[in-house]
Amino acid sequence: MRSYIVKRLVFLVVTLWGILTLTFFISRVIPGDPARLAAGIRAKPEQVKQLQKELGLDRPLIEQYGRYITNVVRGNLGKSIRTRRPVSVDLIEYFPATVELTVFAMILCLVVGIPLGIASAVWQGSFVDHVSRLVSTSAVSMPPFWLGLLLQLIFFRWLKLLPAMGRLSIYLSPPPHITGLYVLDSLLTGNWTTLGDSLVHLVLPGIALAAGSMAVISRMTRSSFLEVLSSDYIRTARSKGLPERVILLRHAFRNALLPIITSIGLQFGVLLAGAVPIEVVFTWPGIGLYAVQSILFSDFPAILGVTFVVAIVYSVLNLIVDLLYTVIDPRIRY
Amino acid sequence: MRYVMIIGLALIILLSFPTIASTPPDTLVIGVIEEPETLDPAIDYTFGTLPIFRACYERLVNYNSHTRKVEPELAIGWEVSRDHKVYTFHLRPGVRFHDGAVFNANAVKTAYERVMTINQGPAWMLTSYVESIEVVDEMTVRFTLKSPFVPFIRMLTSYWAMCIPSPKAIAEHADDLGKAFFRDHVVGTGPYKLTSWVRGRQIILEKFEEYWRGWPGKHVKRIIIRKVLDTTTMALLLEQGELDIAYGIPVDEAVYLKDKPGINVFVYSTFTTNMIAMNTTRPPLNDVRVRRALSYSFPYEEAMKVFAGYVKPLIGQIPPGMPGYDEMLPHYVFDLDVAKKLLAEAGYPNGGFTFEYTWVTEEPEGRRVGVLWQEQLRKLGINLKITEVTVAGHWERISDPTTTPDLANYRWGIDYPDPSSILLPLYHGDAAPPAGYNISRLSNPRVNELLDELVKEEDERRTQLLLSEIQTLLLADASNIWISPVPVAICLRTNVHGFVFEPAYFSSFNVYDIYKE
Repeated sequence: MRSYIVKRLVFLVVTLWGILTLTFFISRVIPGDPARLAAGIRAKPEQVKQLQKELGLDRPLIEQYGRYITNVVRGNLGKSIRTRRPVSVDLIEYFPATVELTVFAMILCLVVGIPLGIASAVWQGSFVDHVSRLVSTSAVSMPPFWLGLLLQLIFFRWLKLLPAMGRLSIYLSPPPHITGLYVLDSLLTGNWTTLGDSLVHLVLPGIALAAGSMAVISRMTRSSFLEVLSSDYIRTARSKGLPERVILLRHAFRNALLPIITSIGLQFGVLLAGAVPIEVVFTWPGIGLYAVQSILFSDFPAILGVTFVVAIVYSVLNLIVDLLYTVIDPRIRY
Repeated sequence: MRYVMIIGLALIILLSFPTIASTPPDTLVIGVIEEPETLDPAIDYTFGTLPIFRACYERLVNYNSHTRKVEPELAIGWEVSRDHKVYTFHLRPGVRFHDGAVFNANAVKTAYERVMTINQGPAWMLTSYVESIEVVDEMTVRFTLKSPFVPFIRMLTSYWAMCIPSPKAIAEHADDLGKAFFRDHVVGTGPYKLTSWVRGRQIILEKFEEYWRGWPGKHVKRIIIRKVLDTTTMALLLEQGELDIAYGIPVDEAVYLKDKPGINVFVYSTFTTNMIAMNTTRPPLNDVRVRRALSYSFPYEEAMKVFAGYVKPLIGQIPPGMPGYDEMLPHYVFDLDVAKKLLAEAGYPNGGFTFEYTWVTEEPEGRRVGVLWQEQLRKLGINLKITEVTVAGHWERISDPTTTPDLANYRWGIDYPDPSSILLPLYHGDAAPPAGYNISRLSNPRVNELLDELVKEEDERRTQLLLSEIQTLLLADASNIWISPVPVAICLRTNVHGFVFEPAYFSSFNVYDIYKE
């Protein structure tokens, strides 16, 4: 087990190096000289040159690459050309917002998706199953940004129940920065007003982001359960006269969980990527928003920083999912 | 049942939080799309900072778009030498910065020399013209220019580079010229001071009690500049009373807010113009007849639909409302027959070429204008290939004549309210990119001569004559298709009073005079 984890971690480093290298060279293909943008529209060529020198953009590409990788190893992601701050400072500010939204969306996916999937497997072909299928198909086929706008229209404009944008009402100050996750920081500092307010702000973007993945997880749960429910040991359990609840939760659930866990791991990645349009619609100051602005500005260090962080999160999540297999199914050993 | 009760209870708790409330009467909430990248007036060169600059900083002089005159701000008077090379300013006594520092001649010198030393973004306005800045006495400062430049006084009204930060703050952060400090802090003499900036969320400004104008009459205590990324969301927030002013809703979307109760929508023409530059460095666009043919093929009136009909096609290069605008200039109208004739004269009776037309992502009208034009050009046998470019991509391409597209749609926003801020960088022969923004790279010696004369001319009538001649020559050269001024929609709640639009710096607000009732 330990050697497996070590092996995976080595792979992780290699993967990250590959991703950084690829992104480094691809981002240089994007047309546009960031020094020119940063210097301003009327900047004289010598001003642009001066700034290129300051940003190290006047060096040969391979030297820039070498310097960048060395800096990353030392934990320095460089300075953003657009915001003129260290990329790590920007990421610390923007990333928690995305994490909070994604985690909230994932909780929604699990809490709604799995029970819905189980219900439609157990009552296959029934009214519940049809409704669940209808909801899933609609959720998968609706673009998240459109669903976001629809939710704003209904819950903000018509019903006046939920806020349409941001992480917190403007008259409230954010809780003291501990993790950057407003919900968690409010809980830790016992600030109940910001806790309620930040939860309320999560509802609409959370639903809009979660809908698609929720549907996928619910369908995956359904098919996995159907397969398990028709197996011999379930029939044996039934013939032994075990109550249906015990059969479902103790016998079927654990065996059906493996493909569901895989799909949850993948959906985390989908949610991270899907957060970009949702962050725009709900003005959610997350990493997606930061990435879009950086790309438009050809802000190389920022683009690389975002890619790096997302890659780490995605790889680590995959590792966790793989390790979870052994917990759920003792037959699996690494 | 137990679960239903728990969920029900949770929902009740969740929904009992006051989530939607209208803004307090002493607070003005402004929704904006563009967030500043840096708050340093020596570096920033975007429209996103103007609401903050105008509220927190001041300049020596202010341009009043309505009287079209330059008026005192931190200067109370000035003298200009006969050769327009020496400008002497007498400063307002009793003015203090937000950090308590005293405003004097040294503050002006320190601020502007800092801009020139940093030498980024807007610094060219000072470095290109100013030879030296001299402290004559405590309250008198003198600028000596490299050569006579009449528009200098109007240039000083710019918010970029010309805002004066506290000399004390500059001295306290002298190690990096204050670049790191002024990126996130504002220390000016203006009516409001910055109290917090949460990136991606909001900027909060509070009333500066010791402001030199004092606080008689009605004002707001606090201003919240709230970032809203999506224009549909912005409209919803305004409707619900969560914003007092919405800035950034496109004109064609703002139209739908007009009939909503509690909302006033104003659409204004700005001094920013939309144009299409023709690359005159290669055939067939090096032939003036082809360029004129293209100028006649452009559907001017139809293109105004893109701006919901709120503006009229440009006549000449100067937008209406600015000195030098001349309605009597001969100009192009949509006429395919004339276009066809001109093409035949140039040896292309059936067209037969493909042009690449680029538009910039952040300026979406460019795409719609391109599509309308494409349809007309097809009738002349000309194919228009429409390409989207980012700002960075656009700049890179136009900086080299070989990569400059045949036709490039672009916007030009002025740096200071004077025709020279349009004509010099866009049409002078010396202004080919990257030095300037003459994308077509056409250099007409007579135009260059007249432009050099223009910046030395102080007589109003003669200036007007010069401007008419320059514009007529430029129209004859047809280096660009001049489409229209870009309109903006400012949407206000009906309880917001005192707002006055500023076409030169249209993303700024006269917050000191705005109040709610």
